[in-house]
Amino acid sequence: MGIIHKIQRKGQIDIQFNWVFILLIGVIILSFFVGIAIWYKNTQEQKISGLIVLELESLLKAAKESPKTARETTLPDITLTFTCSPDDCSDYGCASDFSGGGISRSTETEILFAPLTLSGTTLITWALEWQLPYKIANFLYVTADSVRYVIVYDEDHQETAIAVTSLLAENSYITKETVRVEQPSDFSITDKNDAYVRIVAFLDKGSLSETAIDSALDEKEWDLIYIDGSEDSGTITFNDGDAVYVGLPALLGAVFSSDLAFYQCNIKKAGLQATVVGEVYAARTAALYDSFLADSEKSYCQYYYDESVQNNITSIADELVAEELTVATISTAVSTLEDNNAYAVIKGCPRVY
Amino acid sequence: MKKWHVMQRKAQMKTTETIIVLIIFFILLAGGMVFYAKIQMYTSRQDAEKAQEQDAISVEQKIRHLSEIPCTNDGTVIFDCYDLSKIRALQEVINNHELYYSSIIFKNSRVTITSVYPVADEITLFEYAYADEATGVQLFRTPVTLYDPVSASYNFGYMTVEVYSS
Repeated sequence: MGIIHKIQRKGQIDIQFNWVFILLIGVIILSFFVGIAIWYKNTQEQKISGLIVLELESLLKAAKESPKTARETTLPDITLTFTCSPDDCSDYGCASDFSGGGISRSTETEILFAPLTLSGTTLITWALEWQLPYKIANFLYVTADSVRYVIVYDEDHQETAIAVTSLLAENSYITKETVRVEQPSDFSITDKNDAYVRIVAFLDKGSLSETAIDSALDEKEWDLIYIDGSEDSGTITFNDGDAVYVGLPALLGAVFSSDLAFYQCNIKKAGLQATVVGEVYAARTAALYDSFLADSEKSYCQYYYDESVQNNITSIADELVAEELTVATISTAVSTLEDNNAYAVIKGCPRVY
Repeated sequence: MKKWHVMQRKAQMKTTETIIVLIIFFILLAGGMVFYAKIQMYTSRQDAEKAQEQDAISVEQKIRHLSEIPCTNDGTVIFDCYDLSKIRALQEVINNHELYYSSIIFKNSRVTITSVYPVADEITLFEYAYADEATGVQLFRTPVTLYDPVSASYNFGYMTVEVYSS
């Protein structure tokens, strides 16, 4: 009886061990497949984000190369973040990128004005040429239809405001409205449930009541910039400081930029680009001067490419990268070059630009 | 004792069966994984080729839209027309900004501008320093108009962008 019991117990232990063994292996196999599923899910998510960011990069490049063209693109719902550091610049660009879903792409030399974050499924891209007076670069503006731009102006600032409004009217995708006021206190705004509201005030600095705007927008996200100047140049006041603009494309850059640092960073990139382009124009002008100096028939043309013209080209680039930008120097150089170009054409000489 | 031996053998056989099943299972699993890895390798090789092609197109597009060399009329760019004097000026400027042009604009490419008619000429705008070590090359040829401001004449030609892969 004792032996039978012993055998029975051993058999039971063997059967129980078999079940424990199967259970253990089952758990291992199950956790292996769960692990693979999690890994695959993460990889695919990263892959999709990467593809979106890559497609977005191509889209931004294509948009940048088609000035005066606005595009609206539908994207998967992804939050895009744009960064640009004005204090971290090399000789050719500044540390900047855009990212989505943990994947980022560098925009070191791309002049791109955008809010810090953009979410939603509709992306609006728009590009304009920046000319001083020759083309320096294409500025790219990126926004979404969930961002509303409110242009408010009074009689004293209407010329520049109308110029900006007319330019913005060329882009039908942007959510925008224009308000003309007699007094800054007449301004009122309604909440339209936008993700973000950017108020662009062509008014005296600090004249709008921020408390009234805050309560009207039901404490939604908004901010305000003041613009004082002409179509050619002026000052932009952000919440965190002032900056100078030269030309309407730069002014629009401020309209689309999230803050002062982002705007200054991209303007810095544009200035660096101006240096390289300016060098090419200066070298070309010098070469034309030498060519016409040796040409007895058209030697009178040399006048349009002499040292003063070359210096004007160089001074534009120098000013644009200077710490303290002097708008007057740029304006003088630009108008001198414009006049010089017109006279060169009259005399049958090649244009400088 | 005989019965005990039979039971022991039966239990051993069951465990051995399970182990064999598991071994077969893991062999099949490993086979599947090897197959999946091979497909992934093939796909990623294809993706790499596609990315290289896109890279080449991107370099070509960048060159076509450079602010430095197009023909301009009071600042207005004339598309697919290049100013010969600007190209020559850019050759000089590239030497001063080697890093910018080699790492950001031209990257791993060789750019030549060939004038065909009425004047036959060829200008090499940029030469990739490690072209000899490259394993492949993607070639893009675009017909262009070349303007000579000194003689105020236009030439027909083409721009060749050879993008090297390593």
